[in-house]
Amino acid sequence: MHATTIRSQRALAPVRRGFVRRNLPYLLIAPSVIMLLALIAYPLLFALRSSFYFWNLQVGPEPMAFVGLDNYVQALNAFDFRAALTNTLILSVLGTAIEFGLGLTIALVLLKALPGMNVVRALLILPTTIAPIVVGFLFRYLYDPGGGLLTWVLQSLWLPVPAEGILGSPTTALAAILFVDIWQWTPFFAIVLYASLLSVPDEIIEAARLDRASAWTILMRIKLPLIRRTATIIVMLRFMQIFNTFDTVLVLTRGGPGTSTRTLGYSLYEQGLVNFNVGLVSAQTWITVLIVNIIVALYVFFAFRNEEW
Amino acid sequence: MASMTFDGIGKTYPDGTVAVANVSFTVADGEFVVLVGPSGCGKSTLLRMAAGLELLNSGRLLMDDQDVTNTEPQDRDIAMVFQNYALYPHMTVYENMAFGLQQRKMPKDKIEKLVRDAAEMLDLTKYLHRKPGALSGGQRQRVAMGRAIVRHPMAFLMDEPLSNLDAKLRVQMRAELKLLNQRLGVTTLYVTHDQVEAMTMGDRVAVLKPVGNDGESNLQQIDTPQRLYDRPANLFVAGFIGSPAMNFVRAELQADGASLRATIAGTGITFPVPASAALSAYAGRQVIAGIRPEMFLVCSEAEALFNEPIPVAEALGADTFVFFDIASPPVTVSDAEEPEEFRRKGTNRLVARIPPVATPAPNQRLPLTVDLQKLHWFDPLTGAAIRD
Repeated sequence: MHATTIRSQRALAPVRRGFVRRNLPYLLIAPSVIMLLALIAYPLLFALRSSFYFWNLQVGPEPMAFVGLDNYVQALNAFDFRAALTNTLILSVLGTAIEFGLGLTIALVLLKALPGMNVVRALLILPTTIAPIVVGFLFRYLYDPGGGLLTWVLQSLWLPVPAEGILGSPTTALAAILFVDIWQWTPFFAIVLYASLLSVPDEIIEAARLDRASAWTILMRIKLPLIRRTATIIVMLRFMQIFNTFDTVLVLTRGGPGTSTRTLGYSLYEQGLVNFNVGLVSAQTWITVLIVNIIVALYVFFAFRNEEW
Repeated sequence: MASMTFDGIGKTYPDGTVAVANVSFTVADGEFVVLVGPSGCGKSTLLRMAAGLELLNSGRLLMDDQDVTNTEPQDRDIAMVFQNYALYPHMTVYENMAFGLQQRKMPKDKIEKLVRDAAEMLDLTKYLHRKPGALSGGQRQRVAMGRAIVRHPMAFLMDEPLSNLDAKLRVQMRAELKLLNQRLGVTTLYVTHDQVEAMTMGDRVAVLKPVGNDGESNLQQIDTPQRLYDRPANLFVAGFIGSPAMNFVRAELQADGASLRATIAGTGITFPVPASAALSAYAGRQVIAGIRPEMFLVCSEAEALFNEPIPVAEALGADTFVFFDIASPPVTVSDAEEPEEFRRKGTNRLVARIPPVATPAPNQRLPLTVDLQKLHWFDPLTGAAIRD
């Protein structure tokens, strides 16, 4: 009895091991492929189908009629679409650019190994670790027209603060949202760029100094090209993240006043989860996906054109 | 072109470690000087000071009698070749070589001509449009050289530029570098830990040693390779220069009428010492005798000073190195710090260079004598050479 069990296990083992060995790569990537299909491909395809139907959950639980491209036409012509697209682009482009510039400056200062830099590095990471929704609430108090700290600081510096509050005025509300993102995400750029600048060998910088290059030339022609891959990737990452800004807008302004801080992300939320207009929001989703992918594709094409990967 | 003077250079790190102390020497215009020494002897630090990449605590650095001690690297007009070449990985060979010229706001056509000339000289023309990553070690090394020579700098600084190459290529590049230096006539300061490289390349060689405090000097001796070999200033230089290294034995000196006799400590081996006023002063005391491997001569048993079994013989073809032990306490270069009991006991392994025909069978005795005229003598306490 005992002997037979062992023998049968022995007979089985090579077969099983052969299967595992042959299919190991597929087995290893299977979980992520399944997750990807379940969480991204399926919803996207579901949304694609829904976008061709009139389907509003306030009217009925099922899609009611095939409407062709009507939802797309309606989405593009909606009162808020252009405003949302413009705001989103302003936020993504300015946000990414300012965060990169500030982050790089901070990274270069961190490299100077001045006293106390260890503490600064540790503190820097803090904003990035706070959930955006919490950051939103934090800034709601800071921007408060009555007693908010930032309002007070601006007033103390004799800078004009709108009577209706920083978040209440169409002229300052978007800038306020942008400022929150910059506050939270500049440290991310600083830390990542700092780490990649550390990997630039000292001798190369020294060689450039002996070649009579100025600090500016060394930055532009040696350091930045050498960290280009990292920089390209985090810029792309942040651009896509800001493009989908939603939570800070929800907490701070709900897209207002008017449409002045409405973003594509917030629009999707409102159409889908407030108005339950599934057909329309599916069309909007696809428009957003297309825009962001076209931008990223162009960016990747130009950024990595001459790169041998 | 320029001369370069190190005047009492010293560097102490904030934690109190003394890296360099009291180093003074001058590299003449167009001269090729090699800094050589074991790890930690401060050779790279000195080179980096010359480049302006490292600050000094004391002393002055002059180039053509101009004080450049506090001049930024950018303003020194010096080119440096780094151990790992430090090529700009994102630039082509051409761009690597042109970069320094572009910083001087030189017109494009002039840059092009200079780079092409240098590439021609270094046989790099085919590779101008490649990036360093696509080159072999030897080619990268040449690009690093090219980057230095296109600028026609006042001086070259080279930090172990050949140490990342394989043995064969290193020998080849050694000769090429030497030729290049003769052709360009640029003042060159060259750092290496390899004494063969130092001996073969340097017009003069500076032998450096790690220092323990700022009262000493790293610089042990600076001289032509031949004089370093023939007349080492102290035990350290004698032991460092030459391969295999010089043999050291302890010997008691006794006055024997007008002449001197030496007896190798712990053995009965005794031999007459050529008369010398400096050595006479050591009569009745212990000294250290230095014997180069080639000073041993194969002889008959009657003439032999040494007649020991040979456990190991290394046949190199042209020569054979034989190793043998004598019952005499060993000598180390840092002898003064050795505890007394170590100096009394132990065996001392010596190496001799003999003609291949004389190679003995394993563990056979080989009678050897020594060319007594050529012996080196050192003071056991200071390590300084004893000479008239």
